[in-house]
Amino acid sequence: MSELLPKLVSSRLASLEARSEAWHPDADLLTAFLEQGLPQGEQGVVLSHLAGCGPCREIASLAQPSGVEVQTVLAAPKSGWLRGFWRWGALAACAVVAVSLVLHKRENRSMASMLLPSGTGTISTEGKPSPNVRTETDTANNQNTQAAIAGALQAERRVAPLSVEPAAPPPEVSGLASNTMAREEVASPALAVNEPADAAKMKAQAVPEREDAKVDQLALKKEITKDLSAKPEVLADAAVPATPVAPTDKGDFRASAAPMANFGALSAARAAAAWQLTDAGDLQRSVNGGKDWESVSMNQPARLRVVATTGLQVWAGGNAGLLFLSQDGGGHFTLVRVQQGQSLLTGDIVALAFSGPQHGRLETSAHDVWTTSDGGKSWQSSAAAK
Amino acid sequence: MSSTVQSVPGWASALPPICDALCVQSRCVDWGLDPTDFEQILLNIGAKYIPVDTPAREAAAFFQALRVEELALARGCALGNERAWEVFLTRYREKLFEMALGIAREGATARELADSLYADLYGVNSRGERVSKLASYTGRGSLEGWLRTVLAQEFVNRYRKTRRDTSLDEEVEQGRQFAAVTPEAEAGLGGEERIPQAVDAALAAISSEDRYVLASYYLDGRTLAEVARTLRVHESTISRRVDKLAKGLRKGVLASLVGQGMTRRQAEEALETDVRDLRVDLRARLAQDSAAVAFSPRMAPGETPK
Repeated sequence: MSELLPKLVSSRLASLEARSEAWHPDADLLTAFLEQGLPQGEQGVVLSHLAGCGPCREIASLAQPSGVEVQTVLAAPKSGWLRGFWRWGALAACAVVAVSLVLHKRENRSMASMLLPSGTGTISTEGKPSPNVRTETDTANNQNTQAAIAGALQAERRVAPLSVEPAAPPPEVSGLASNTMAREEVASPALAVNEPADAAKMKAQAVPEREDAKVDQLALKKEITKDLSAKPEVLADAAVPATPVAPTDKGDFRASAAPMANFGALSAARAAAAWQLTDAGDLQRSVNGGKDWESVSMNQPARLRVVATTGLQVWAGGNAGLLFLSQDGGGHFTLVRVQQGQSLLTGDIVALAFSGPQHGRLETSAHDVWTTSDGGKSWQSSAAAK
Repeated sequence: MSSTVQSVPGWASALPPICDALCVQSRCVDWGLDPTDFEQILLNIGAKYIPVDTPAREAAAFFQALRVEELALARGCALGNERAWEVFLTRYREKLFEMALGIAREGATARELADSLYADLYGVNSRGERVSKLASYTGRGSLEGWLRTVLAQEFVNRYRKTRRDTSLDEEVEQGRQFAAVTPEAEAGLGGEERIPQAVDAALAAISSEDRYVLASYYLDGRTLAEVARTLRVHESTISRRVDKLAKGLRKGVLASLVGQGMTRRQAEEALETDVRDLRVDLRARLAQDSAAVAFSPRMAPGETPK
C-alpha cells in the first residue's frame, strides 16, 4: 500500500472485505485460466473474480510458470500479409534512403571536382588536401574501418559461446588498456578446453604462482562467469584486441593464469547453461539466459524429447530409446545403451530425472521406468523387475 | 454410485460415444483404473463444471479438452497404484521442489512447502485411509500447472496466516510506520463524499480485464511484466493500457462530478488536480482484499460470481 493512503481508505478496505465473495475458483480452474485453456465464458468469469479478489490474484501471480516469455518467443511467428507488407516496405524504404545517400555523396563529389581547375587535382597551393588526396584519405579510412570491422568480427568469432574450434592467435592491433588483457584472453572461448593436453598444460603453467594468484584468479573467475552467463555483449567489447602487457611479474602471472580462469569460467558457464528442445527434436543451448540459442549436435540422427542436467552432466533422451550423455556440459555427447541383461530399451523416452551424477531414472512412453545408480553404466527396468 | 448418476443431466448423453476413446487415450488401465471407474470420474467432473442445460455437443468438447492422460495418472496415484506413483515421482518429484522454490524464493521454506504438499498428495491419514489431494485434480489444466497452483495456494494461506498472527508491536519493531490520522482522512477525500461515488461509476463502466489490470498494478503493486505475463500479452501493451485507463477514469470521474452539479473547476479542485489523489481513490475502490480462505472446494454448476 502506498504511503499516500489515508485512514479513510483503510477503513473502506475493511468494509469491502465484508463484501467479498464467498466463491473462489479452485486450483483446476485457476490453472486452466493461466494456461488459457478455458472457454471464453469461463475465462471471463475467472478474470472478473480476479479483478476483485486480492488473494486469488496473488495465487495466480505466484502460480505463473517461469518460462512463459520464452515460450512466447519460441512460438512460430504468425504470418500475415499486413506484417509482410510493413516488413518489406521498411526494407525498401531503407534501401531507398541508402541509395539516395550514396547518390547524393557522388553528386557532391562530382560537383566539387567540376568546380576545381583540372590541373589542381593533386595538391592544392594552400596545402589543403585536394579531392584526389581526400580520396586517398578516404581509402586509408576505409582500410582502417575494414581493419576495425575485421577485428570486431574476429572478436565476435572468439566470443561465440563454448565453441570447440582451435585457438586463434590474438591480432596485433592496439586497443584497450593492459588491465583488460587477461580478461580478454580468458574471455576467448576458442581455447581448446576439450583438449586434455592443453588443459594439463594450463594447469602446469598456473601451479608455481598459485598461492600468490588465488585471490586474483577467483575475482577473474567470478567476473568472467558473470559476463559469460549474463552479458555476452560486454564480452564482445572486452574481447577487442589489446596492447600486450609489459612483462612484469604480475603480468606474467596473468598470462599464465588466464587459461585456468577461462577453464573454470567455461565449466561454470556450461553448468549454468540453459537447454531446450525444438519441435523437430533438436537440442539447443543458451549461455546467456535464453537470449541466444545454439544447436548442439549429437553426431547421429535423433529426435530428442527430453533433456535433464545435473552439474556438468547433460542427459538427452529421445525416440527409439536413444539416450545421450555429456560429461562436460554439452561439449561432447556419447550414446548410452540402456539395457538390463537381454532387455534393451527401445521405447521413446518421455521423462528424465536425475537427483545427482549417479542416480537417475527415465520413463518411456510405455510407462516403463528405468533407474541407474552408477551414472548410466547399468540400468534396472521396472518392467523386468515384475 | 454418486448422486450425479441418479439425476442424469442432459449433457451426460455426450459422454458414452466418446468414453472409449478417452479411456484409451488416458491409459487408465495402466494405472489400475477400470474404464467404468474412469467414466464415473468423468461424469463427476462434468457435474462439477458443466451447467445442466448445456448442449451435448459442448459437453463433448469439454470432455475432449480434458487432460485425460494426466487425470488418469493422478487418479491412479490417489488410489495408491504403485506404478502410477513411480511415474508420477519420475515426472514431478524434482519439479515439485523447483516450483516451491520459485514461489517461496527461499530454500528452507520451499522444502517445507514441497514436503507438505507431497504429504497431502500421498494422503494417508492417521487411520491408514488414503485421502489423496490428487483425487481433486480434474484435468482442466496441466497436472504440473495444477501442482504449482496448489503450492501457491498453500503458500499464500500460510503467509497470510502468519501475517495475521504478527502483532502491531512486532510490526513496529520491524520498522513499519503508521500514518497519522488527518482530519481530511476522517471526513473523506477532501471532505467530498461524491468522489467515491463517481469513482465507483467510472470503475463500473470498464471491463473486468481492465479492472484486473488496474487492481494488479495499483493495488497489488505488481510490475507491468507480471501483469502482462498473466494475460499473455506484451509488457508494453499493459503499459499503454494502464495509461489509457488512468486518463479515461479521471475523465469519467470529472464528468460524473460535473453531472452531480459541480462546476468543472470545482470537480478538478475536488480531485486537487493531482493524479495521485485519483490513484489513491482507485486503490480504495479496487480493493476487495478478502480474509476468507482463498479457495472454496467447489463451484456450483452454472454459478457465476458477482
